[in-house]
Amino acid sequence: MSTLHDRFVDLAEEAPASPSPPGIWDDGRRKARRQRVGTAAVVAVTLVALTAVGGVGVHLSSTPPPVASRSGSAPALPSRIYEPSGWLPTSSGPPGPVSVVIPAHRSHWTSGYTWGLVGVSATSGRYAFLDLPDYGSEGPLSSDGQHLAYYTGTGPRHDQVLDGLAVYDTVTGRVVRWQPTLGRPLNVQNLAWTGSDALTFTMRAHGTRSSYFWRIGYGAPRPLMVHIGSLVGTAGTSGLYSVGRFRYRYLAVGSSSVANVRIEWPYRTLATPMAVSPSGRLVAAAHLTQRHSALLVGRVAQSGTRTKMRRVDAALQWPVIVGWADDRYLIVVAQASPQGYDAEGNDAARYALERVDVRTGSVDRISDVGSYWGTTVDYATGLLRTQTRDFPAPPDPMDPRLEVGLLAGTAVVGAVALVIRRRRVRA
Amino acid sequence: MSAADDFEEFVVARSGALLRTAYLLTGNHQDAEDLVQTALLKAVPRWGRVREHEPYVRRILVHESVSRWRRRRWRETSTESLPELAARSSDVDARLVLRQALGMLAPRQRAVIVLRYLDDLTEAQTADVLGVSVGTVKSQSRDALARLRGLVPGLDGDAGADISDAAAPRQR
Repeated sequence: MSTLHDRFVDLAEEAPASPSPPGIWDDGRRKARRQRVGTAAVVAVTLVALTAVGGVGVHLSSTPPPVASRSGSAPALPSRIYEPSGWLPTSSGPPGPVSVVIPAHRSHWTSGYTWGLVGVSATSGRYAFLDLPDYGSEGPLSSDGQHLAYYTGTGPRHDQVLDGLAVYDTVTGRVVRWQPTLGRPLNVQNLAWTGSDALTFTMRAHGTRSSYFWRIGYGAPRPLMVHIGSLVGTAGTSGLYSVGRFRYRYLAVGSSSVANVRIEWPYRTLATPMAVSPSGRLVAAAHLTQRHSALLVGRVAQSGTRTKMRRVDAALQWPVIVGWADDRYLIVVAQASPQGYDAEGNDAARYALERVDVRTGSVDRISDVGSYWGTTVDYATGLLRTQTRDFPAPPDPMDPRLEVGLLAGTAVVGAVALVIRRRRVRA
Repeated sequence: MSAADDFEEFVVARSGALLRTAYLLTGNHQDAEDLVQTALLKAVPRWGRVREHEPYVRRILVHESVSRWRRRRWRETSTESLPELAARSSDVDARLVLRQALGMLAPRQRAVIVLRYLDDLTEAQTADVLGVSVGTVKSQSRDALARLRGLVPGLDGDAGADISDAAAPRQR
């Protein structure tokens, strides 16, 4: 009986006896060379792709160098306001006076986004998220761009409770906070700057609404003896507040002097915000309906005196008042494209910062503020009288999750290409 | 002696043995020749750096055989029993049955069996060629033998004893 070895030897007798063809050595060398070249090519292509992806990411996230300016580092509004990326960095320190504050989504690796405030440096034009501890909601920016008020909040993002006020100093980085012990969520309205270092607001507590004055750095807010309504605007350290139909009140919070004034508007409904000129003598408002919009300017009169409000014949669509540059020029954000922001399928609605001569109605465009989000921007109104300046565009960092995914995907594709290539190479 | 001369000498001396192994692995003349040529071609780039040429070429041969089987298996179907044979000489029949039985083994099992019982490699050498553990070689060998006993008449009983572990190839 033969063993399996013997049977295999017997079967192997059927094996072909043909000698291997000549030239295998040379063929093998050529094949190895081709394989090395091919492998090097795949590796090179992969490296180029990885470098390209990484380079694009670095390029998009790089901060452009500051622009040398004829006017040195004098603060100015930017001539164009860009929609900030959610992946902008947070300012590592106080950014200095800011010209513009933009509410924006701050993107996160794992948790979608949270709201934050992007400050645009008034001197360099640099964009960065402001480091605002316990940020809850945006508040007004002071006219000089040095102080930013905001609401503080506690709790998870979707169930946050506003519990206080804070003021961020963009020059020193200092944050002054006020957190009253109310036992319920904070109910503050009409928060507004009076001058550049004091806030006024109304707060409902214990069933009544009271008015407060808070000079930053001088302790907690103090109640005001007079009630203020919604702020029309400030002129110096005085604020003009609406306290009833046609009835307004000038309040010089520093001296506690009060002057009741009357402004008779031709329309029952007026858009906010309104604005008072730096001299305090002129007030402007917009009347917006679905069909038309009108810009109105009038002289503030003492109580009991009738003042006729004048319609400014300016070619503006949907003006939103930003403030006065002086007693002649009013700054508004108006729609710069034919269609409105709510027009169907319209992605091109553009808005611009316009300077309106209230005497002649002539309009000069001073800054492009992008799409509808630009109307939510808060300006340092003290800069409205200065020339705007061209600043470089902010970085637009690639979503790091996408960047990592592309890098990993490119590496995997390269590796797979190498494996497939090695498998496909046959004699 | 240059590497090329050394290679040519190896091809002349060992291609016959390699072809026999390849034939048992593939069961087909053309595939066997192709397999040996491919293995030799793939051995060329590292020929000068390899000390033991034959184990190296045999390792390429076996791995290439398994890889080819994986690429081809979607085109092939296996059956549980061998087809009926026409009346031929008993030697030819025995070879045909054995070849077909080998073809019905899983490629790694086939490689283990061929390396162990044709090339007379030890379990450790077989494990080294296949890149698996000795335990895997043992289990694969046991399973392959059991299957062969069921497929090849005459491997039962006395013949089976001949291929038992006690009658395993001499250890080298």
